[in-house]
Amino acid sequence: MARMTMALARLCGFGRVDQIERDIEQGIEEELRFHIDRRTERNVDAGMDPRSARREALRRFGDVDEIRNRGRTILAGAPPPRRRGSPLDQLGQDLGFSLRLLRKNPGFAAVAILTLALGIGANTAIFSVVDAVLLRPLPYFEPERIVQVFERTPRQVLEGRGAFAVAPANFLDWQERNQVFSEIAAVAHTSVSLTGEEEPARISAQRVSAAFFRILGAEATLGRTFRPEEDAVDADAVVVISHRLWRTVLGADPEVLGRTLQLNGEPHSIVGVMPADFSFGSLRSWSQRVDLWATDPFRNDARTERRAHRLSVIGRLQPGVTLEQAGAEMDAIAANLAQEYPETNLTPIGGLGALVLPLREQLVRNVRGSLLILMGAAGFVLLIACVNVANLLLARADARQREIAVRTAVGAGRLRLARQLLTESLLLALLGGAAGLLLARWGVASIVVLAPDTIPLLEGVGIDGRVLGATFLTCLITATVFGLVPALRTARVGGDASLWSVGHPATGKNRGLLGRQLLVATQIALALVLLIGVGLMLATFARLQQIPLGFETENVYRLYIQLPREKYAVDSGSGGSLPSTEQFILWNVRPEQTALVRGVVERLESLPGIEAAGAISYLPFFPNMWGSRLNIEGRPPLESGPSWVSTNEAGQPDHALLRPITPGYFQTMGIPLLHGRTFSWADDAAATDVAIINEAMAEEYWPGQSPLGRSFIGADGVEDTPRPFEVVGVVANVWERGFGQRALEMPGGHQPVMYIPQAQQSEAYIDWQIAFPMRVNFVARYSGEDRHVAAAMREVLKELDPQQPIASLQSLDEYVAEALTDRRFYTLLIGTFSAISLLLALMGIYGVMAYQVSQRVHEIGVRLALGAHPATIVKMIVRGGLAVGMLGVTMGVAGALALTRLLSSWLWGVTATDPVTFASLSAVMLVVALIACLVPARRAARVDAVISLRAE
Amino acid sequence: MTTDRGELLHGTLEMLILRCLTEGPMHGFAITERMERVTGEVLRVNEGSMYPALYRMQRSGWITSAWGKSENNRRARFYTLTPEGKQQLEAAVAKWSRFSEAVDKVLQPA
Repeated sequence: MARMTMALARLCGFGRVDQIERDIEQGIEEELRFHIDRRTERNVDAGMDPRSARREALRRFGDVDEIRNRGRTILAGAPPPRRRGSPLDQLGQDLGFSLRLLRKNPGFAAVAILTLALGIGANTAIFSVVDAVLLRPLPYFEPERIVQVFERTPRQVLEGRGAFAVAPANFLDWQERNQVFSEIAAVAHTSVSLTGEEEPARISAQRVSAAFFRILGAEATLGRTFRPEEDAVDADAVVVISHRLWRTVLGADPEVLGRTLQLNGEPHSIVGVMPADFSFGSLRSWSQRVDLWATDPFRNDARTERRAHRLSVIGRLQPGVTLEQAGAEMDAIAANLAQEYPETNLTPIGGLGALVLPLREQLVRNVRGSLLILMGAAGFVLLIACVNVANLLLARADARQREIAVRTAVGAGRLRLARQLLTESLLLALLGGAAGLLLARWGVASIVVLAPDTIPLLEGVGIDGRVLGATFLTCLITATVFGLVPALRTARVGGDASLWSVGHPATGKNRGLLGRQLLVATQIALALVLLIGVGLMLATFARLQQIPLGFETENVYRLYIQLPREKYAVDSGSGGSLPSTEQFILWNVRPEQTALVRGVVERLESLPGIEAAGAISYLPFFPNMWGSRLNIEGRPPLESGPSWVSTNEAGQPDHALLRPITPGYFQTMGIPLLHGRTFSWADDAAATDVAIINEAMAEEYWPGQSPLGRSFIGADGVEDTPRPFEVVGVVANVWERGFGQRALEMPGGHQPVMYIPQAQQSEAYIDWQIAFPMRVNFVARYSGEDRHVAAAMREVLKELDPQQPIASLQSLDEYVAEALTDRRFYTLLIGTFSAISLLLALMGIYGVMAYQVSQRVHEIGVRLALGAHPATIVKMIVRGGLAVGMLGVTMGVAGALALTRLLSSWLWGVTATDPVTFASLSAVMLVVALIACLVPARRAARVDAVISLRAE
Repeated sequence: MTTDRGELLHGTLEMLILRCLTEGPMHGFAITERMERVTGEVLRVNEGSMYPALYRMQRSGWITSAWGKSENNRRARFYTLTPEGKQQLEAAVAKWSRFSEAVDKVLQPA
């Protein structure tokens, strides 16, 4: 109770604390004296002389000083003040004093703490993301020794570009020949249909070598992982499942081992369940969790295949082997393979190489830059916050000149004063940090919700000990940054100011005003850099929104499925003479697939409320550039490669994206037909092969002529089997490439696209990964309520194939919006930071201007008394503010010119030094500075000459 | 029962003080005298060390204190047992009995 009273008293004010402390001390003193006196009396009663009676009483009592101190510590909860304070005591005094000061200036304290909370909170939130994604070790055994191995083009690889997946036979040779890995494993990502359980489900899965789990150092929690002998071609079909799949689909059945799962219609028996904390993602998109692992990454005996680059490969470095050594050895092995298998592993520009990257490095490669930019932006916010608080402290230090002078006069050393002021800063920083942590918690939660799938490893994000440590460190650094200058300056002032000369600004100069103005200018500069950054990003956004998509997104729903090859396609063996860096196992479309697609489309069309329906393999924006090389009559033949392919003047092969569709697709998507006709169901396998081309294709290959009725040669399956297509229609261009940075940066306008009837498709798409299923997107245009459409689409599919899981069902608007998720996320974060810094800068300017006015009240009073017009006074103040603003803007523009090119990977359609953005935002900044000056300026104009003079 | 520095086993002093206070409010010196009388000075205490104990118990809410007049009319601080302190004492006595019983059994094998 006493301790609480003390703490409370400390908060309430110095005087009462003193009083209570005095009371406690006096009480103890009196009580102890009473005891010793009574003992002395007793001793005298017992016949001792008074002096020895007292001595005996003191002896029996023990160490009076010690007991007095202990008593005081217990009752007051604080160590007794000593004449010569130890550093710790002084810190305690400084802290207590600082607390009382903050308490006396709640406004100042609140503004400073809130300001710091914003800065520290932003940094803590971003740091916890950076920590989870870039810094914390992956949750596997000795994760720093786990690497991913790629094949690569003969040219030197920059930032991982030019690296690609590994062909099965090459992997097997690597496995046999290398001495640098303790083990390597092939991983083929896929998805499988699980049937036979309650609901058919599409499960994200991987086919892996048995070494996979050993490389990660992961053990099953139930059963086992794969055994080496299960790598054999004729081994039983076994699977290991994730904890999540076990829990959600299999009801956490403890007897699950040995149970059979129907995967793509084939039985697989479960041999193990992984622990709950084990997770692995698709190596291409880490946020796609894997729930099932099967053996045999090669499939279909493709172990001799060197063309189909479709495997991911992970490995564990042997102890003592460095990344460089591993890279060098793998390159040497690859060079040997190029000699041995020149047909597949040698290209005109050299042999295929190998690339070894740390697993983490390869996962975060694409987001590192973006996250570091965010970190930098958050750092700017903190700097601006520091400047604000430094300014506040400086202003207050001036107000405290008299106090400082008094303390100096009574013997406080400069060092002691500086320390006191630094303690105050530290206290502010820690309080701000605590509040910042609250903000950060909320910020991190928001980030996790909003973050795009492209940021891997976010599942581990959170505010843990590491983050807390970093925040604490940030507080310390922050306190030093914003506290040091005011502390040093005040200590100096304290040293040379005399008691009677301070506090009369009219007679002295405006001490430190210049310094403060410089601080504010810096602040404006920092805020402007952020503002310009976000301005450029928003300009990019605006440009993207202006892109004519070529299709109408309103009132269209999209149902996306992935058909299992085992059911809907026939394996027709390996393909023939393909260029070395492409793939290939071929699958012929079964009539069942055509029937299913047609069935769904026809049923949808017949539903009330649905105006049109159709299907396509890949909707626009899908990151699949697969197409066909072409032969256009009258153009030169390709020199090396299939002889039937024609080229342009530069020798580039003629090419078009290839999209099988059904009748109704163009109508549903609102893609206008410009010439000719659309497809009908009559364009089936028995009819003439036809194609509808886009405008870009017509212009590219038949400039100035009508392409209708013309024939060209293409290959929708393998290039071994080209066939002629007759152009029956021309449609308007569609924005195929989406909004991804690389796609946007591709040269040229619209690519040529050829649409063919789905029913005439001779072979299914060949994918980079055999394991990819065949994709079909159904689209339906509706009138009326959209949820009926969604339910109807689901129902129709279920009727025709109850086993077929749905991969995605959403409106086309949502589909298009998803393509902007990345940009929206980064823009939102930078935008938030920039808004905070703008606000802080506004406060900073306001604070300094207001301070300046208050310091010049006397001077202004004199001017007014001498007949100056209030408007003149306003002009004077505003001019001062604008000067600071101009300085800040100039610095900011310079800074932005130097920094915005870092953003270039986020920008499109604007240059990093876009003059319009720079000019308009500089103007905005100046207006903000102006607004911040207006209130103090008007106050100045209202100064009453008489009162201001009397205040003298 | 005393340590080198003449202090009782930890907790014992508190127990004894609480026990004395069951007889009514007392000031520190009276507690000392009472303890001497009862224990026949077997338990020699550094008298001063009782005060930190008193302050600690006061902070724990086991006892309260108020200034009053002593028997020879001087100002003295009187301590009073709280219900919480009483509970504490009962718990400590029970624990002590178990402890001393055990010690007895060891020292006097049946």
